[in-house]
Amino acid sequence: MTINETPLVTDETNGVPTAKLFGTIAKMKDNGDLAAFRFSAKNEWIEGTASASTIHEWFGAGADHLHVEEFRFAADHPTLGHGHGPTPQEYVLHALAACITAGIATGAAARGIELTKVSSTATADIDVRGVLGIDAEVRKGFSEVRVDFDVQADAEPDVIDALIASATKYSAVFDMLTSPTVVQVRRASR
Amino acid sequence: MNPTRTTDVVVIGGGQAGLAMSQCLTSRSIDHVVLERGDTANSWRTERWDSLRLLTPNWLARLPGWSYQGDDPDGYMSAVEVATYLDAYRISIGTPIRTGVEVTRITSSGGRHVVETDDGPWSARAVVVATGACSNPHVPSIAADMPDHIEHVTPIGYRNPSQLGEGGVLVVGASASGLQIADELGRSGLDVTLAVGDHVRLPRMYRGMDIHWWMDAVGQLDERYDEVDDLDRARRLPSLQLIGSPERRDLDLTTVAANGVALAGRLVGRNGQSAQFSGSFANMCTSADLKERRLLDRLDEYATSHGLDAELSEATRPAPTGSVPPLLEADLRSIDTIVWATGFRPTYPWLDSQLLDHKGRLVHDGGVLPVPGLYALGLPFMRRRKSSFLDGVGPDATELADHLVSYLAHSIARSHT
Repeated sequence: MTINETPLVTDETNGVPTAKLFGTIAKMKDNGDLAAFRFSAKNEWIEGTASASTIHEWFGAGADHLHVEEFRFAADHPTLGHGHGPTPQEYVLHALAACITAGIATGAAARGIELTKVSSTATADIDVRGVLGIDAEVRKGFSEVRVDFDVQADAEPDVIDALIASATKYSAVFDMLTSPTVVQVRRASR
Repeated sequence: MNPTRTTDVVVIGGGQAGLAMSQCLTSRSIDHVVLERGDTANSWRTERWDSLRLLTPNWLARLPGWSYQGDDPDGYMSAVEVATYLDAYRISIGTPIRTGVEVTRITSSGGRHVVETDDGPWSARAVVVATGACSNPHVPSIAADMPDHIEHVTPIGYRNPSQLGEGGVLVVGASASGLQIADELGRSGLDVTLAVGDHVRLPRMYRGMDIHWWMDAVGQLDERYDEVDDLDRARRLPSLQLIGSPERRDLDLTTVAANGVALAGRLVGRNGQSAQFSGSFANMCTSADLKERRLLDRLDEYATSHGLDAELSEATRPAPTGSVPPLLEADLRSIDTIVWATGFRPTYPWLDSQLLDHKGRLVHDGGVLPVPGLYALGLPFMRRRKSSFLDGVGPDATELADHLVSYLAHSIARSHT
């Protein structure tokens, strides 16, 4: 296997390389193996409730790749920590908003719609009695998540609504939040 | 065993598609035989629930050389009435049909196709597969994860509420079948939960006219397979949330919920004694409402551009799907039956696997298979949006019959040179 740099692209609508997007979809239709991707994050405890993840390598389209740099994200606890970063839960909100936004940008590009603004606020409610073990009947995770989008584009409101709904439907993070996923957590053998 | 009989064309299936093809072949003087596993219109006789009526009005049942002549053109035929309608069609066109014949294998070589059956083999120069789109219910693999006490039913096995026990029912799928069955079970007093995924919502009547009148008028049903953006997706589109009832009532998530059916997201898994549903319900409803609104906008534009606004009643739009918090879990101990209204996937165990794609679907271009002389008819969006409808198979049959006749003529020319 080779290590490839992610290539930079120039033929873009909304900054989305549409030709590459359609080309990739066509290739994966013919060869399902190319659609197998694997992502990973490496996390390191800092102190107290703080830790940081670094994200660099990923696998997809039949090869190993590196992001243009090693990205680092620190997280901490809101009340017990020392302010190294936002909470892990907030990263989930960021992931959801970012994932749907990417879908809006590609969906608009595919339909030839020029975007001038896409902003959103993701908000979640959580009853922390669940994570604190105070009440076993209270769910540990979010009880509800809302994402409010402000999209400005050369399109009718109904078309923008359809862009948002479709980007949501095809969002990986939305799917992970709304449907169960098998998660295995264990001590790595040394 | 019978000796091999020879004909020009073997048509497999004696439903609307097989009969329409037979009419087209007869009118082109092509020798053929229709092989039917049961009786004419077998699925309509034996594989439909008691209360089922067509989603399309009676006048929208045109077949080559045949149309509805009864006294209720705006009504909706019951399954038995469809079978009777097709039987009368068969007699009028004099279809050479062999009933009670099961096809077991088709092999092709050197321009001839051998159709093996439990009544002996047929040899033909062309074969038309017209076995229907709604004979093999698809049940997702998650069914195998459900507890042992649960009875599994598909729309083909379902007849009426009295066939189920008194326990709770989970209906999976909110297309026409799932919604109609959930509605009927809910009205009969059973505890019903409906798992809702992607769905297409439409009002029965709009501005005083049947929704199918509109779709026929604006040409939506005639959209061709080589004109749509994503044919694969168009072919997988769930059936419309409609019911053909004498009172022409609407059937959607709001109406079934008002009858006591509990709504849930898409069924996604089992955790211990709980069925788990996706939290995507709200987005599914938003999408369906949006698509409905866009279609109705298109209908209004058509009315205006054709000067029909004065004749039609005022445009009142259906209310958006209500925001009742959907269930995320259901206790499987209180569910005795699961109705899998999760679509149909035709299977072809008697065809060479090379004719099928990796998902077992027939590979074809508008009904023309890659092996010369093999054709398919009556599949969803085969050549146009209405391909799998009673009213839609005719134009496809006509086009394929022309293709077939020209193929037979050329293969004769070749064999004589």
